[in-house]
Amino acid sequence: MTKVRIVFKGKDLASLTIKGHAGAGAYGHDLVCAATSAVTFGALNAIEDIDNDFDYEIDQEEGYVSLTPKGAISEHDSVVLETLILQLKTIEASYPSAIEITERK
Amino acid sequence: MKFILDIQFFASKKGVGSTKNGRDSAGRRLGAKAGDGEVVSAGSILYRQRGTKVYPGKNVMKGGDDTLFATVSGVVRFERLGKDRKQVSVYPAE
Repeated sequence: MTKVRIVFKGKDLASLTIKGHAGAGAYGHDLVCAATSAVTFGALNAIEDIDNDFDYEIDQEEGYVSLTPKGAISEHDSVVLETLILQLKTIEASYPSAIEITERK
Repeated sequence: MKFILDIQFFASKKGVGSTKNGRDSAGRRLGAKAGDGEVVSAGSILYRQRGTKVYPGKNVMKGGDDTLFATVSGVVRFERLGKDRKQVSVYPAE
């Protein structure tokens, strides 16, 4: 199961971690993994200046992505991240056994 | 486009068989976060560690989780400390 952990500091995102394998099918046929991968990497590419504005980790082997803003998030990036979170929640709503989102305020 | 999509990034890469072992926590990504000679800004994390594998040197402080971070902007230097220990310092760029 892919676990998504979202931590907020007040209204602002403090960290976002997506880790683990969806386990919704054999490698190459895991549809939930495909959806999660697509929206995640789409968001990473949509962020304006990820190297300067975020600390991030991507571990292919473990299926691990973490994203931590270094400071205030631009309006553009806020929309990108809100969209990512909503997309992940949309996937979770249909495939709760393959992806689980926890939020901490 | 910075990141190339692997459409099966979050899929298990292991073969089909099942095993009782194989559980582990995600790696904590410890180690150096800034290289020797790299220019960093004040507050930058230099080294994540458990315990003091590397000691704080000049213009470097240790956080609660033993993370070393720069207290000034400057150039990172990993140096020897005594016979067998290491420290990291930050020297303000002239």
